Amino acid sequence: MRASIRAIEYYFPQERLSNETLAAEYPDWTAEKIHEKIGIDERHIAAPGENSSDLAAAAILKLFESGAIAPADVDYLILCTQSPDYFLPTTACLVQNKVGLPKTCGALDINLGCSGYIYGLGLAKGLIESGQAHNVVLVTAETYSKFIHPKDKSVRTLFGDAAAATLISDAPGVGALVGPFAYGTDGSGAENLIVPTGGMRRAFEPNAELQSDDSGNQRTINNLYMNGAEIFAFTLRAVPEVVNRVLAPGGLTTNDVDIFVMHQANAYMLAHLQRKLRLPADKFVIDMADCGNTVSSTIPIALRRTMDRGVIKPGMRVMLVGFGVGYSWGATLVDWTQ
Amino acid sequence: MTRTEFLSEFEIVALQAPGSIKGQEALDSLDGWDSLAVVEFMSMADEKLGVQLDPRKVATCSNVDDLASLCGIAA
Repeated sequence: MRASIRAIEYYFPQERLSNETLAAEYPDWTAEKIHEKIGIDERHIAAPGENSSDLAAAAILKLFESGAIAPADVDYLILCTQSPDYFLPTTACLVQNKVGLPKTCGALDINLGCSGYIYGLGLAKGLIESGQAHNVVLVTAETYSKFIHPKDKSVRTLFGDAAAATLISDAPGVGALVGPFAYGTDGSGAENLIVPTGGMRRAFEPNAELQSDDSGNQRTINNLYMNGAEIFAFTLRAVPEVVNRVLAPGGLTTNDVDIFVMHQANAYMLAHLQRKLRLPADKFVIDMADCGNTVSSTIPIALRRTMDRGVIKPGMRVMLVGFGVGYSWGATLVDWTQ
Repeated sequence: MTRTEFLSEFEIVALQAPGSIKGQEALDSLDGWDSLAVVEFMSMADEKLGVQLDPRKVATCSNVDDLASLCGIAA
């Protein structure tokens, strides 16, 4: 029995944050400059009171509405988020109740960011191919906007909120087979993409001092911080290596991959990776202009849209690569059998 | 890459007028040298010079010539 991707749906919150709005707030940037630099035009922002479980539930309900599966047939829910509704209970348990999954269903959260979809697929494959589950829903959901200080353009321009739900099943001869996988972890980079407070190590500081960096961005210790240069350097180290580590054991090269769907960090970084890996533009997906970097949801959103455009055809081999906060990274292959 | 070519690349990255950068300019005096420009500079170095820069060393550079030295460009 082999695990295969059967369906993907995604959901964006209604509120949008456009480049024009950002340019009005950051006078040294224009809407055109933001687009030119990072390839993003707008992001969706969760409303006050709208949280990861809400986005996750909305994406899963779209799976049900599409007819891909009925709630009663789901026997495992994996929810990936770093912006959970609560420390406890587990957000996956909230979502199980919201969308009406059976009480015989397993449900758990995994805390990963931009690599989370790859790890979630790996876990789903393990559950299915070890016989523990037949139909796994992997839902990625983030509301990073709630971590971001409004005066920090370094991250506010990049990140958007979203959720994506993927159905992975054991039905033979249907869907897209997943695997093999390669993973990577380097916790020495933890401080380069972090929300420093709010956990047990350092409590949220209600009167935290507003600090400015060399680029004029402002944030407090309670907000998301990203060292873009360090993340870029990490990406250049990690991505070529993990791509090779997935391909080499099977005697494959990048020429044997039809489509690359990498974490949609920003268009500038992706274009650099494309050139560095010497990949043709028509095999390399860049699709984030209307939603920004949605963290663990970028890969399933871009994958679904690539399917919708008819770019992925039966028999194609697709490579998925996730990389980011942790540092954590991973890659896998998906064979589109039908 | 020659020093002149390097300075031209820097001007593009830091949004400076062509021919305006001589090398001694303090980085913190250039409005275009921000966190995004640092990433673009690292990308340029990787792609055109084959040099993967350590961001911590980039952060210690005080002027354009320091960046050139970091990339192995002779003064």
